[in-house]
Amino acid sequence: MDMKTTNHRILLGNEAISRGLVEAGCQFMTAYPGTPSSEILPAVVEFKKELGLNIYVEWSTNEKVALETALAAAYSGKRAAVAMKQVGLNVAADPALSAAYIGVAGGLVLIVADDPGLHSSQTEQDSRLFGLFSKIPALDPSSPREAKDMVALAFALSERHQIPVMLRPTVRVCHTEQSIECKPVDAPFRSAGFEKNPRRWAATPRARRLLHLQLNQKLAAIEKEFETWPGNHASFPPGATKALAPLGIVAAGVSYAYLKDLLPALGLADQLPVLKIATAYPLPRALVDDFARRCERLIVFEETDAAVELQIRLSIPVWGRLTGHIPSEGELTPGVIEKLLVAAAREAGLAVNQRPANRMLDAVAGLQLPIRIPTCCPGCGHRSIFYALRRTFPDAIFPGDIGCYTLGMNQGSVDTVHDMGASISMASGFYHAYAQDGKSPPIFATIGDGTFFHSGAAGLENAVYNGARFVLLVLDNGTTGMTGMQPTPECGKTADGHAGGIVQLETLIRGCGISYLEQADPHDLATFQRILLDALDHSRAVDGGIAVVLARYDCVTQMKGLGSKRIALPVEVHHGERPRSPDAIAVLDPQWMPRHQDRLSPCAEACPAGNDIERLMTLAAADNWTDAARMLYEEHPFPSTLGRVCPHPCESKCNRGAYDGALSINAIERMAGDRGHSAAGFATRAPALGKTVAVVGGGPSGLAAAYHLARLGYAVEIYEALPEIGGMLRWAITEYRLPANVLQRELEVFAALGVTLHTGVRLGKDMPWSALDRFDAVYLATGAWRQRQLKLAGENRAGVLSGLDYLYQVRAGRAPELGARVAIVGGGNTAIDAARTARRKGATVDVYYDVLLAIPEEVGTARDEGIVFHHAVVPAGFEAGTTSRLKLLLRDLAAPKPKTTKEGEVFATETSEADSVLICIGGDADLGYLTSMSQQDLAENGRLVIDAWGRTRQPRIFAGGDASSMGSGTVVGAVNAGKRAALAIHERLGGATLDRVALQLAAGPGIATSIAYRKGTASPSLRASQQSSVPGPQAIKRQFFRTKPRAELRHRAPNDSIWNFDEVNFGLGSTEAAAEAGERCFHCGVCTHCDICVNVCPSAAITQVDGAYRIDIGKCTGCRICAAECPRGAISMPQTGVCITCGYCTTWFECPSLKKGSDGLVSIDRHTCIDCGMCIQICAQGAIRPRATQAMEALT
Amino acid sequence: MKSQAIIAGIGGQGVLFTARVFTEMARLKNLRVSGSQTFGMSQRGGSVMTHMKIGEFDSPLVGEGDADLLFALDCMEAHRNLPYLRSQQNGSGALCVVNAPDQTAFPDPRVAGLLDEMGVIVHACDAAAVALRMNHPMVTNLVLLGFGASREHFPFTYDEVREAIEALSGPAQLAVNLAALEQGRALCSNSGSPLSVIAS
Repeated sequence: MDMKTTNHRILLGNEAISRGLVEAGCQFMTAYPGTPSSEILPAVVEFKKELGLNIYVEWSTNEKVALETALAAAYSGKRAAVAMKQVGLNVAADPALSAAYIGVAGGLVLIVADDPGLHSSQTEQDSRLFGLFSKIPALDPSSPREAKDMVALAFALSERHQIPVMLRPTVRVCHTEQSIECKPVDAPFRSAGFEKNPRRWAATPRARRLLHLQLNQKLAAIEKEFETWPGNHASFPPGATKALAPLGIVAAGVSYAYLKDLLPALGLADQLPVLKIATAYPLPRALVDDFARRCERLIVFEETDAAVELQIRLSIPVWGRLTGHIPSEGELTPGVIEKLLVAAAREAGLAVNQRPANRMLDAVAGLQLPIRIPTCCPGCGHRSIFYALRRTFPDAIFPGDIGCYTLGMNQGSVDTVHDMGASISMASGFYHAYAQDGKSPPIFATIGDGTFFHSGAAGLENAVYNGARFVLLVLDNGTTGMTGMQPTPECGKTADGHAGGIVQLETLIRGCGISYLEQADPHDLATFQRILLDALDHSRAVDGGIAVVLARYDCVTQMKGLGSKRIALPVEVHHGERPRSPDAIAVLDPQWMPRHQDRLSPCAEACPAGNDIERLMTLAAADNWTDAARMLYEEHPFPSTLGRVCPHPCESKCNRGAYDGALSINAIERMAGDRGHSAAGFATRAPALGKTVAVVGGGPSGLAAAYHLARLGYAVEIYEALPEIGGMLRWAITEYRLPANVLQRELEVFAALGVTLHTGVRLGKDMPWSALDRFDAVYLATGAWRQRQLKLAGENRAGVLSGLDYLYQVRAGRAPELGARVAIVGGGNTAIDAARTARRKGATVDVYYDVLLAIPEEVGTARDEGIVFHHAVVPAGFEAGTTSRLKLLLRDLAAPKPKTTKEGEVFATETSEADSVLICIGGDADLGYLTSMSQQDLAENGRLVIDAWGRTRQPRIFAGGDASSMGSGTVVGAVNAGKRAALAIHERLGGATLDRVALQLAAGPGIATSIAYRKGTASPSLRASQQSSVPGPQAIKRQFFRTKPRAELRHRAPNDSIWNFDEVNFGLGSTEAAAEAGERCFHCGVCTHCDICVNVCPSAAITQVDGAYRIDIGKCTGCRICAAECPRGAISMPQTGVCITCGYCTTWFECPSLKKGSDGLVSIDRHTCIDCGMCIQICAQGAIRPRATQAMEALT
Repeated sequence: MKSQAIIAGIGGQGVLFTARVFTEMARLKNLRVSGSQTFGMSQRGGSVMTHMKIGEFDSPLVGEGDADLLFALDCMEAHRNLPYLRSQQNGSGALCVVNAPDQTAFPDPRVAGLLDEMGVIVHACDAAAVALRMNHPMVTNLVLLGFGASREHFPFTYDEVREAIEALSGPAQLAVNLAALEQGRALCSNSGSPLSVIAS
C-alpha cells in the first residue's frame, strides 16, 4: 500500500467518520458540539466544500432538536446523520426512544461519542447501554479506520430494517489520527419524498404496540445479520484449534486494538483465542456461543460499561465487570489492560512474559508533580468575571454551568456544575430553599451564551414564572469556546458559513420575562462590580426580580488576541527592594502594613463653620436629629439659618458630586436645626470667668463670637446700631429665604446665654469709642453696609438706588415704590435677593451682571420666578428715558471695545429702560467710628486689618466679618470669623493657647475652630485631620455605592411664590433627609464597619474585636487588597510598587501568564501573555504596570 | 520502521501542531501512523499529550515503558511522562528532547540516575527563550523540533521535518516556522553557545 499515491489522508477518527458519511451519501447532518464528538460535523463541511457536495449541515441548538431535525430528513427518505457526545444523548433521549419504535425511511446514523476516563465529560455512561435501553442497534468501532468503514454498513443496516443505528466511538477512536484511505464520493443524490402514513409517523399508543412488536422482530433479524458482520470475528491461535482454551478473550472497541499489540508482547498471542465484537447491541449470541464452546472461561474487555458482558448467557465463567475482574470505572488503557490480562492469564494457569516493573513510575511519583489544572486562557473575559464575583460577593452561592467558564471553580466562583442549563434552575432552587427559611443569600448563576441557547432559556422561564430571585450572568463571548469555536444562534452564521437567522440574546432573555437586563464588559473591574451590586439590589428589591447581566467580550482564542483592547505597552511585574519587616513577624515593614485610619472628609474640611459633616450624616441617617442639633450647636448657633442661606462649600467638595450629584448637606443641616432645636440643650455655659467682652455689631460674625465667648464664661455685651440684632440675616437676607420666625428662634439663645444686648446704639454716634475701654476685649464686627459706587455717569439720578438699602427698607416696613420695571446691577446674593423682592412687589425685573456669584439654586429659583438675567451685560451709564423712566446705557462685555472714545462719551452697545435701578455690587465698611489716630491704626484701605485669628495691631481689639480685611461676604464666613476671634480672645484673656489650634489651620478653616476638637469630643475623622490627607474622589470605590440621584428640595411653585414673602424653599422632609444621609453619604475616609475588608482579605487576617477591626500582621500577606477595596479610603497602606510575593494575583486571578518563581516573585510569561492588562487592576501593590518604555525592541 | 513517541506539553504550547508534523513526516515517508490526542477541557492550560505510533501498530496508545522518544515542551510535563520511556534495547537508548530554561530544570536529580541506568539520551535546550528572542513565542515547539531533529536517534531527519513544515504551514507562517527550525538546529551545532544548550 503506497499511501502517497493512493488517496490516503491523515485523518482524525472523527474526520474519518465524516469521510465515511460523505462516501455513504449522507445528505443531511445535524450536531451539537461536545467533546469528543465536535470535529465530525466541521469535517463534513470541509469535505462538502472540497468536493462541492450538496449536504445540509447544521449546528443545532441542542441534541434533542438535532435528532428530531435529522429524523425528519430520514423520514423524507434521505440519508441523515446526527452527532453528539454521550451526555448529549441524555438530552436527546426522548426522540431517540420513539425513533426506535417509529423507525426511519432513509438511513439514520446516530453518532454518539463516549468518554471513558472522563477526559472532558460529566459521566462515564456507556451509550451502548442506551442502545439496550432504547432498542437501537449500537456499533462499537475499534479504530478510526473501522469507524469509517462502519458508517456505510450502518446506513445500509438502517435502511434495510428501517431503524436508526447508533455508531458509538470512544474518545481514543475519535481523537486518534490515522492514515485513512479515502474512496470516491459518488453516491447518487436522493430527493425528499415524505410518504404520509399517520399510523406510523404519528403513531398513537395503540399503534405503538404494533410498532414495538415490529421493533423486536427487527432486532432479532439484526442480531442474526450481526453473526456475519465484517467487524465481528473470532481468531484462534494456531495449534489451539481442538483443545479447550483455558481463557478466551472477548474484546470490543479500542480495547481490541490495545490487545492486538499487547498479546504478542506478553507472549500470549499464541495461547489465547480472541473474539472481536463490533456490534455491541444486539449481541450476536450465536457467534459468542460458538466461540465459548472452545474456551474454559471468557474475559470481556470493553468500554465503558458491561454492555456486551450483560448480554452473554453462558454456563462457563465469564470474567468482567460483573465479576470484579475488570474495574467498573475509569479508562481501560493499555497499562490497565496489561495488568488485568496478566492477572487473568495467571488465574487461568497460563504462562505470561511479564515485563519488569516500571521503576520510573515510582520515581516520578516521588517527585509529587502538581496536577496541572486547566484554566481559562490568558486574557479571557471569563476570568475577570469570576474574579469580580468572588472579590465582591465572597459569601454568595454560585451555581455554574458547562463550558470553558466551568473553570471559574478555580477562582471559587463556581459552586455547582451539573448539566447543561442547570445553573439557572439550580439558582431558582437555591433561592426557594432559602426563601422558605426567610433567608436570601446572594445567588449568582453563570452560564455561557451557547449553553443558554442550548437549555438555559427553559430554566429561566421557569424561574421567572415561579418568582425566584437571583442574579444571572450570561457570559457571551460570541462562540462555543470549549468545544472548538462553533457558531451560536446569535452570530447569524451557520455551520458551513452561510448566513442564517439571528437570535439576539437580549430578545430571548427579555422574552423569558426578564425586565432587568444590563450589558457589561468585565475588563473594567470597578464598573463591572458596580453593575453586579446593582443587579443584586434589583434581585432583592420589593418590586424587583431576577436580574440578568449580559457580559460581552470576544473569545480571545477565537479572535487570536484582544485586538484594540490590548493595552498599548506590554505588562510588566516590577521587582525591587521591598520594605521588609525587621522582626520577620510581618511581611513588610510595619509602616507599610495596613491599618484602619479614619481621615477627614472633604466636606468637613470645606466647612468654615467647623461642622463634622460626616458625623452629622451618620446621626441624620439614624433619624437622631437631637444629637445632630447638639453637635451643630457646639460649633455655631445657626443650623436652621445656615441650613437655608449657606452657599455650602461642603457640597462643592462632596466626592459624590462627580458621581450622581453632591449630597444635599445644606438641607440636612437645616433639618437638624429645625427638628432638634427644643431638645438640644445647647445653651450650657462654662462658669463665669469674671471678664467682659464687647461685641460691636450684632450680625452673624458678632453673634458667633458672642455665642462662643458667652459659652466659654465671658460676660458679653453686644452693641447693635440697628433696632434689632441679626445684621444681614435680619435686614438683607429676605424673608422668603430666611423666615423671621426661624431667625428669631435661633437668636433667642443669646438671652438664654445671658448676653447683654444694646440695640439702636451706633458706635461713634450713640456711644463714644471710650465706652469700650471698660471691656477686657472688644470684637469689632460692624459689617459692610455702605453701598459701593459704580462710578458711572448718571449714577446719582433719582431712581438709581442701593440694593442693600432697598432690602433694609423693605424689612423695616418702609419699602420705596420702584415702579413696574426694575433693573438690578450685580450678580451676588444681594442682587438676587433684591431682584426677587422687587418681583414680589409686582415689578418685572432684569438682572445685569458680569459674573454670577450667587448661590446657583437661588439663581435658578429667581429664573423660575420670571426674572431675566443678562450675562456679561453691564451698565455704562444712566440717562433720562421716556416719561419718568431711566434710560440704561448697557455694554455687552463680549462686544469689541473701540480703541478710543471721545472725552465724556459713554460707550454702550445697547439700551434699556427701567423705572428703578438697584445697585447690588457689594458694600464697604463704614469705619467712621475710628476717630483718633490710635483707632485709625486698626484700619487700612477702609477695612479693619486682622490676622487669621481676628487679632488687630492692638492687643485688646479684635475684628472680623465683612468689616475686616478677611471678610468673605458670606454668613458662614462671618460665623467662622466670629469663632476664630472668640478663640483668640479666649487665648488672650488666659483661657487657652492658640498654638494647637493654629497648627490645625492646614486642615481647613473650620476644623481649626472646631469646638469638639478642643473639647476632645471630636470624631476620629476630625482628630485625624492633622495626620492624614483628605480622601479625594480617587479614594472612593464608587462600585460599592448604589446610584441614587440627589434628593430634590421642594419649592413653592413660582406662580404662587412671587405674590408674597412666604418661604419658597421647603428643603427636605425628615424622612427624605435621613434617606439622603443614609443612602448617599460615602462617609469619605471614615470606617463604617461595612466588613468589606474582612471579606476581601484572602488570608482572614482582619477580624472584628469589640466593635473595632484588628489586623493580624502575622497572617497578613501584604497584598493590600483591603486598602484597595475599602470603599471610602479608611484603610491606610502605602503602595510599594514592587512584587512583594504575596501571591494574590496567582491565587485569585490565576492567569496562566502570571508565573510564580521559586522565590515567590511573580513575572509575566511573555510566551502566553496577550496584554489584556487585567492583572494591573488586580495587583493592589501597584507592582504590575505597563512597561514604561517601548522595550519590545529588546525582545528582537 | 516502528517508533513510538510521546509529545507532551501544556495546552496552548502547540502540542497538537507538533503531533501533526510527526504524522505528516510519517505520511511523507509512506509509513503507517497514528496520533492520539487530548482535546477539550484539558486544552485550557492543562497537561496535554499526544501518543504517536509510527509503523505497524494497532493500539493508538503508547504503553508505559514503550516510548522511543519523549518530546516535551515543558519540564514538568517531561517529568510526568518519563514512565513512558523504554529502557535501552540492543545498546540503543530512548531519546528525550526537552525544552528547559536551564540545567537545573531537567532532569530532576531524583530521576537522573534512573534515566542514566535506562540509557535514556537527554537533549535539552531553552527553546522558549529562542522563540521569545525571535519575537514569536508561539514557535517554541518548532525551535525544539529543529533542535531535536538535528540530534542522533531522532526518528526523522532535519530535512524531513522541514519538508513536513513546508507542507503544513500557511504562507503567512512558513518563513517564521522555517526560521524557528533553523534556530533550533543552530542550537545544536553551537553547543555551549550563549543560548544555554544543555546536552548530555
